[in-house]
Amino acid sequence: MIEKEDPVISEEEAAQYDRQIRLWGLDAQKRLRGSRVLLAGVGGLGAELAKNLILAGVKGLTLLDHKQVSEESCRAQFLIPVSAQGQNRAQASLERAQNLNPMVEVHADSDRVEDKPDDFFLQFDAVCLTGCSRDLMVRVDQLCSQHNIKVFCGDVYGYYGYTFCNLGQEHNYVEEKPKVVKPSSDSSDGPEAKKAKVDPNETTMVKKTASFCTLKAALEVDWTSEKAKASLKRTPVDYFLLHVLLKFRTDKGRDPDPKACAEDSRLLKQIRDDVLEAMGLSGDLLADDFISYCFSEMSPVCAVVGGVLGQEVVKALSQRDAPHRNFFFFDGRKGNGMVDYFGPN
Amino acid sequence: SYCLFSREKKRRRLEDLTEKMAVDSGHMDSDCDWDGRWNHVKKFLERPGPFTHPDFEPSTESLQFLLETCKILVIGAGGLGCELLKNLALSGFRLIHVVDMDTIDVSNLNRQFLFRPKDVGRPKADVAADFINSRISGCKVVPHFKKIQDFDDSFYRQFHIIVCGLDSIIARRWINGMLISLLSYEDGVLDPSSIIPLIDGGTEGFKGNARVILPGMTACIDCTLELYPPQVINFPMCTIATMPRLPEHCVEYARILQWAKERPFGGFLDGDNPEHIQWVFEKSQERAAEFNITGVTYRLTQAACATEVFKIATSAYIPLNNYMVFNDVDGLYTYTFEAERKENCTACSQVPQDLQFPPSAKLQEVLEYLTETASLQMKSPAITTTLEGKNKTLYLQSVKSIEERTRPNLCKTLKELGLSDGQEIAVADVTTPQTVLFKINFTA
Repeated sequence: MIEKEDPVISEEEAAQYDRQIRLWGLDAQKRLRGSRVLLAGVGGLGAELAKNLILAGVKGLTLLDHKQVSEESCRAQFLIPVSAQGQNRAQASLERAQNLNPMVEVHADSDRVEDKPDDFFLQFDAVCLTGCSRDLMVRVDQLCSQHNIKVFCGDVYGYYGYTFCNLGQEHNYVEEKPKVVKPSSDSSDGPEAKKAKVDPNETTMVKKTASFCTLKAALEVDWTSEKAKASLKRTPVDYFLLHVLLKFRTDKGRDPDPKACAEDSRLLKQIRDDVLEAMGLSGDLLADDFISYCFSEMSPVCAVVGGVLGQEVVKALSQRDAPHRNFFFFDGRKGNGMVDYFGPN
Repeated sequence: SYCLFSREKKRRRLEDLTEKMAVDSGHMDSDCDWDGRWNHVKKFLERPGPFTHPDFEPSTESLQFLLETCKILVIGAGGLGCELLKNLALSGFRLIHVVDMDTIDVSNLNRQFLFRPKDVGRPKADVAADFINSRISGCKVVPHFKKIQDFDDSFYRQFHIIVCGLDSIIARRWINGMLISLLSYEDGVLDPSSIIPLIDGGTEGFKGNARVILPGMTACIDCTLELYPPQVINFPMCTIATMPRLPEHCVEYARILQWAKERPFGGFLDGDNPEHIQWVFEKSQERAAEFNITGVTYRLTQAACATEVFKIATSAYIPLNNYMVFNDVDGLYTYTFEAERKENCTACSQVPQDLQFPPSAKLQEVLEYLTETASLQMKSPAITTTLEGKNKTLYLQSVKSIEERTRPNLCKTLKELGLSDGQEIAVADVTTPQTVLFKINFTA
């Protein structure tokens, strides 16, 4: 991580960022102002995340994507113009992304994430991985967390989406809490005066620490133990759905494709059976109906997941407010969101 | 015969729209609508229910209708509005109207991403429409730089769905009331084709909520009015600086902007100093006069001066309905629940509201009841009634000359004013497009 000079907020920035500064304070804005972020994958979710971070006013955002613009890319996200077919996705997204906020340094990089050397990642304060294979995410997560770089992962599959974060073993942050006014010790006042009161107008910053595990540990939970089996009832099935979709991506080198709907549906079913069996769990855990709802990136789902992920990145970089620990799952069919922890205690 | 007419109108409207359906499918080629992509929508369209029009055959054409004929109104082109327009356009909707009365301010640029610095000062609706139309081919967004109250029922009737990203409870209640007024009943039974779904969203800081309202069927805005926290007198600076609408905006302008600029007494504003408050009061009145706003009172000014907190106006529910809630140390979760309709809701229950007052009660008490009761929360109600066969205005605040003429009535008792037991009064207010009827029952 590069040493940061204390960033100065200009008058122009103060005017533009007024509404968010009111929310998270000037200190937080300064930290954002000094942060460099890497975003791998500029699909539907990536575009939303890019928009949110650029609008928030980070120092720099690098868009990394080796894929070419397809007909579907133009419809999945709003940064790529219809005329850009055949171009690289990151390059095609650059102009509109930069226009969102000229005060942010936006770069486009058309290399494959897999081909980047280790020290490429070290220039960033936060790394966000979308559309990446499980192995790649595990490798990058391991590397970055060793160097105190915040790691975020996220994907959208049809109506479903998730985010994951690893902020390191010791992530320090502050929370703004209302001040508790100590009761007066004067015994001549009535019992009312002896109660500690909360002063709504006065707040104080409380320091906290949270600990995160690696993606590898989070994904490799052992479900055969008695304790794990007992907690199964409270476990969101989205976690297992994620395993299925990541396995599909590894096996096919792509996500479920509408054009190959019948074949991919059969494969998803098979993978679901295999994955759950390998975990020592029943196939009934994840019912069949997910299959018809996990194709393509649905725009509103990208907006929701991109919004949550964007806010997690902002919180982590500004070191303010409690982070989601460590997964967020969104089910667009039910309109439900769930935060849950997976990994060693 | 009215029922037949209205159904025929609807049938003809549908035919009209279907005829105008674009032959040029543009980017909506059939190969992008793969098997199962719109399963959820199909299920919705094939189920008998409020959205199955009598002349409507559920088939693949339903899908085409939805994507190429469905007309959506987006109210508000601000934070939520920009996101909504983007999501709707990307989802394939092409016929979209957007209404917003505001112009762009530099402080909008951190989130209202359809706007650029060069757009500052221009109407939000216009710029948002331009942006979407020039970047998403096939999409036709029609802007309206207007207040929602500038349109009547004929405007709202043309839409299949209305989505709101508003910043005030009053505006929400108004559109809620408008859609309820469009409902038609045949022999007391609601005609489903007269229902226009209202999807309402609101945010405050890190919190937000969204709800679906089927007017006449599910809980409306007024049914759950008590869920909104009291509207603290704090508003966005852009509204205060350029586009005041409420007396509170005028007071904030004087209290914050003018005071800082003119420093009339040298230092900071002292909420306990009557001279300071008087200064703010007079400046507020000047500002209000400039924008034709009524309602600036000394009491309001005093209240504003006493508060030091400057929060953003609240548009979200307190703890419920798709709201992020802390669930112990381990999780935050969102959840959905169904708000219940209120049996005697002033907006959607069609039941005249009963009020109980002694005949010796002053009109002022009735006025206070209408403004201060949590379930009513009216802003500046105008009260009229029928006496000796003639319509009589008891009190009206929004027109200066009438306010002065009817002000003495506030000190008179209901008996003195000539009201009898069971008398009906009609109340008009900014919170509703239709007058609300109340029945006054005398208590001993």
